Amino acid sequence: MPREADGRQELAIADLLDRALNKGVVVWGEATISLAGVDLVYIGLKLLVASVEAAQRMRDNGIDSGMTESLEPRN
Amino acid sequence: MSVSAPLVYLFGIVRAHVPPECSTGVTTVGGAEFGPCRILPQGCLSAVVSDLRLPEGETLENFLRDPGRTEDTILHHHRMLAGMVSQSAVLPLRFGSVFSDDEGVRVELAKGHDAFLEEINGVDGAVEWGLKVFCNQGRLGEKLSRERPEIAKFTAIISGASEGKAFFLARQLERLVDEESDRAISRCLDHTKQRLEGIFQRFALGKIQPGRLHGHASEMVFNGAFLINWGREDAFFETVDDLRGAWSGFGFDYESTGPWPPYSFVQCNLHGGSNAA
Repeated sequence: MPREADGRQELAIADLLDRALNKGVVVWGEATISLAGVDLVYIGLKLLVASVEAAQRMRDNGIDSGMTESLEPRN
Repeated sequence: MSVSAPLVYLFGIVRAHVPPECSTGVTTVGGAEFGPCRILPQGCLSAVVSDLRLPEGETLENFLRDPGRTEDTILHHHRMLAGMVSQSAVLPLRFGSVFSDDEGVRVELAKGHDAFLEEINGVDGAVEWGLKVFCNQGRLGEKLSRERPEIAKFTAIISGASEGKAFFLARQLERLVDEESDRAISRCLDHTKQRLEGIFQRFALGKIQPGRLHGHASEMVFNGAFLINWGREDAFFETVDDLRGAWSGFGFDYESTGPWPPYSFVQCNLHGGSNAA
């Protein structure tokens, strides 16, 4: 089973967006999102994530649980 | 309050005979409501979905134009998948896979059934871990300057040279240190790959992130994703620890992230439906 890494929990929002927006299986819904609309959302988010303030705001909002864990420092 | 007809949000695809246990409650995200997780079987596979009720009068496209709400929705997408990945093999969907009803999901699942099954077999029993390597170039340069005889010799020559000659020699020394640093980075990354061989099942190279994204004080020199079999994760962590110890004196640092659903190791890309471009 996957183990939880020891050490501090750290939000890696750039890593999450890279995966959730650029990777994974692509199956477009049949009538709900136009591709152009989705692309605009992606572009907007990519610009947003470049802002350190945005990542900090997410961290401040306590939405790091269950996210990524850094192994540094583990001891 | 959300009163509009629900959409169907698709999180991931699993094998039909091992449906994961997941959220049974309603989750409110930015004013939208994700209903309890539902399993839609189709052949040997099942889709893991939730009903999605948008705030009244909102279209999905407009809803996602709000960056804060979109961030929260992406986090919900990830949390749902992260909860499944420890239970069974799951194909993570890219964020934003939304249908107007269950039938639309089933149609897509049937259309890509064999490809999905092949993909799910490829990630079964494994999870994705990210690994980043950072290099403190200043520290590396100092270390090399102390230890490389050719650099130490050059430094001694500069200290005894006239001011004008010293300037040009200093530029040459800088280039020499840069070249040695590049070689040291290659050695570090070759060593890293060599040590991890046999531990990971598959590897995917990621993009190098700028400092404002990774937040580390040093420069990122490697960003990769490793598909690690359950039971091999300890070996991965121990090896990363060994590597960190071996290379820290040269200014290198290692950072792992995960476990992730295997986003980086699924290839399916089905464009279907009436609005697909």
